[in-house]
Amino acid sequence: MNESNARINRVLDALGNQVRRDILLMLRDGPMPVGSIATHFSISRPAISKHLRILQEADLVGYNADGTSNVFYLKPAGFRNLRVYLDMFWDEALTNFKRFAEGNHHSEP
Amino acid sequence: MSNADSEHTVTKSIVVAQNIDVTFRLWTEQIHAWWPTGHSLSGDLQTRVCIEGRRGGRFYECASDGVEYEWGSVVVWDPPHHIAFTWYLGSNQELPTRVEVQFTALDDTQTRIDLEHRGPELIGELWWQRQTIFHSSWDTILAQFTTFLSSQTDSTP
Repeated sequence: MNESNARINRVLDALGNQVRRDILLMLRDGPMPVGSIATHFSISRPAISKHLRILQEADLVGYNADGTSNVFYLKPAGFRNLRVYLDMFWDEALTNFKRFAEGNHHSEP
Repeated sequence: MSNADSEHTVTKSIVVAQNIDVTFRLWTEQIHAWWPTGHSLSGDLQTRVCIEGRRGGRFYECASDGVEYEWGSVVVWDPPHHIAFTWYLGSNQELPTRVEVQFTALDDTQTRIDLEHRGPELIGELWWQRQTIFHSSWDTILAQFTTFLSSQTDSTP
């Protein structure tokens, strides 16, 4: 569970930033080289690269080397991890609640 | 436990053998007793989850070292039928999602709980990207998840 939590936390923290969300929205229209991504923002190219690295570590984007530039594309894995996590979270929560509400107050989850 | 996931929500329904007033009270006042401890901002397994019973009330955790972490706030407070709250996912407050919980009395001793966790319209359009990219992989994942659920006989009422 801890390893899975660490993975989910990377996704959540990656999504919890407006620049990174904007990058993801741009990539919906198709893969983009890092240089083109950077032109849409007023922050420095190294800062963009740092955001892309965080997205990549969360499995939300991947890249292919194309000549001298890295071309970034969306990866579904990060979103899938988040969705599966929330599905399983609520199953666990509701199972806990049912057990608790029906009177087995002393049993451990 | 049924799953009726639409594109934009995680949806769950469950029936508990308890009357609606008690069920609502346990869900809110006793949330620390059943909320899965694996999910907290503090990472403290002894953390205490609290929800304040009023519109605008805080949804937060109080870790054993006394530090409090804001998780969200109550947006609908209509006991014993309906509660809705925002829930900030992640370690900052930039990723709000919304949880709707409806309580329906089936009779004096049984209550159905319908839960809906909505994220996308609050997170942005990120949850669901281009359908063509995501559909096939979701089909695979949901099939795996269904298999997983059916192996968890304890969790199926």
